[in-house]
Amino acid sequence: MNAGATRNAKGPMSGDQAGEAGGAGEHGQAAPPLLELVDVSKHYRGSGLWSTAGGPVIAVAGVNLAVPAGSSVGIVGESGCGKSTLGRLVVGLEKPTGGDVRLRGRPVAAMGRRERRAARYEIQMMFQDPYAALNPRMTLDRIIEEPLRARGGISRADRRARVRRLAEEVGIAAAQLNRYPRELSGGQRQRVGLARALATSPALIVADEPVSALDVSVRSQILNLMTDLQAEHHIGYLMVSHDLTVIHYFTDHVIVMYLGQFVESGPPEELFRAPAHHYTRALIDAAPNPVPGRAAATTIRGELPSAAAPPSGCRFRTRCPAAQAVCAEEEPAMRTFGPGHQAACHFPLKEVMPA
Amino acid sequence: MSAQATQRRDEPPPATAPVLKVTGLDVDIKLPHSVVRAVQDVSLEVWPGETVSIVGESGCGKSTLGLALAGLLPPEAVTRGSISLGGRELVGLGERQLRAVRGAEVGIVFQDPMTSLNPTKRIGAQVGEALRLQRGASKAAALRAAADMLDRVGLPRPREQLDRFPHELSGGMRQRVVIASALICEPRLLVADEPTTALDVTTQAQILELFDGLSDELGMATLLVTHDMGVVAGHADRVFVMYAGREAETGTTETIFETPRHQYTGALLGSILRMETPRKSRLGTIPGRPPDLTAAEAGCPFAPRCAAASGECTSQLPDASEEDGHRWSCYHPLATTETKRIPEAQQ
Repeated sequence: MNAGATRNAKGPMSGDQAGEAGGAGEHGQAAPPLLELVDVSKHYRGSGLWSTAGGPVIAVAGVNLAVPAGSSVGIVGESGCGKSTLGRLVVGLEKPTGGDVRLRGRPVAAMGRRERRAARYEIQMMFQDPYAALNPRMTLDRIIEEPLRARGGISRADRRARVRRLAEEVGIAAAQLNRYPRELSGGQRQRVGLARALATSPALIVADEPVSALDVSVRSQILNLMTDLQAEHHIGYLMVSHDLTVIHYFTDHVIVMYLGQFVESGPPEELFRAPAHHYTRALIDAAPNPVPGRAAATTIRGELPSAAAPPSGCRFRTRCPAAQAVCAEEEPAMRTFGPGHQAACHFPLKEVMPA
Repeated sequence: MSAQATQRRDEPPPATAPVLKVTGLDVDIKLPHSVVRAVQDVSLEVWPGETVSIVGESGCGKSTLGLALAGLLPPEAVTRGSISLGGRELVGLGERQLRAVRGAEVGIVFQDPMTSLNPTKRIGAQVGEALRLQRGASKAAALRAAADMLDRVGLPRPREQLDRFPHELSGGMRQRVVIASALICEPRLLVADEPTTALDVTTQAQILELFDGLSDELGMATLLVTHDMGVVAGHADRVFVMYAGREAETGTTETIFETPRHQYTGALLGSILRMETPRKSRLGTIPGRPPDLTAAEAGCPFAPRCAAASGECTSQLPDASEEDGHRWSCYHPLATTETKRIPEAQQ
């Protein structure tokens, strides 16, 4: 399983290059990855809250990534780094300002109405707070059934049967299907959210902090369930989370995002054991550790600078313990530190892999 | 303003007595057709400079307990037992007296800073408010103290922030403002309910370090309500594990993590995801869900979900066993040898 991400600071990459970066090419003529982002950016016009900060807010600044079918890619970073915007771009809740979102190699923007509609049902979303995402006035069976009705082409009886199967699969008892979301616990609501996401047999689920609001015991249940569903239906996940342990446990490839850019990406074992970027190191150090007496450390201070006026050169330099003059002048390029492991840092924590 | 509140500052609290002593506390919340027994027979102490963490799943009563200690229970709540804060009984006090205690002696921080901040009021006025109300400080003095406190809690350029409104700040900065408001009167006790749950790990670490520093510096006692066992392990001196409104187990943080005795504590610790957890392995879970607290049941409340439950567990509530301040209520306590299985983190 091979996923990848790159960031190209100097101009856009061609689609072909991005495809290679996505690691699709183990067998030469491999099919394009399930999902691909090619130099995708998203700008918001400065207004309201941000109006004092200057230019447009660059939430996502030219990122490239690929999610192969059936694999899990994780995105970590602080709030405001653009990770949730990225998820929304993938499911089509936002339109990119530049670049392409591609599904099985086809740019979504170039699709006709019918094809785009079909694509929409192939990518579904799971939210952090399923309560906010579920219609409080609908019973659970209606909630799960809704995407099927919207897509059409399936009889009422078949829809009903499918809803019962989905409910069984996620562990919701048939007797509960006529209840309302408020009657459920957080974990059960997340199960309903998952059943609804699964209704149209999607190839990709974008999961934005899917277990952050849940108790530890329930969190394990939902992660076990997501793993089972992946094995059974060959689903790809793009998981967005600030929780490093969840990302480490669940994903095959991790991307660390800072102020709209990818700063490091690689396989989870490698990336969390021996990161190259100082920001990744700081995130690992700040993560709470369930070992008594070992408090998390703060190696970086302060908060994310404004995305409307990002620092020059390396965006992380204002909080970086290793920053030097060159960091303010030159934007660091992505370099390779191991198989599938890349980072953009002038003074990395480990040796660059010889070419 | 209460006279005791102002006098107290002059002499440091005697370290021979706990700041907070809760004895046999029950809190019932009356609903139209039922009663939620949210807290039952809870006793605990918090000493000066000490951080005690209350942990448990959602609905276990930990937040209700926090509200009771902060004197913020809704009018539908019926409280029995004793909450003694610096020797003063809080149970039975009226709203006016409680308000004085809250401002001067108990600082409160909740998960969502926007629930504690007034969106229409400038930061400086909000942070200084308690000083004006409780201590009769002048407007100028309150603002000066507010700027000092904002500086101490790590808000950059505190003087410039005094005139800003809460919406102009990020979530982490807002929480610092809430903390500054809670600490401005240098309270004896800080009640913090999931204070960093909504924040990034980087900000979380900074704020928890701040609490640690202030409890050392001011001798402030802290009651930290959280579901995050990582936060508990790093910052609490003692842990109070709650289940179904009751104490399941309590002891030093080290004891609870390394040699838990209650089956529930063991299951809770077993379901924590760690960096050492093998990737994609089957995760430990606790089947079922916490009981409905409106129905009074005999026996151990955890029995229906417990792997070790037997007949006696469902018929009668277990008595507490105690060993060197470590207390648990379980008919089938985990052996101290078999619980020492939590892997050491590798750095």
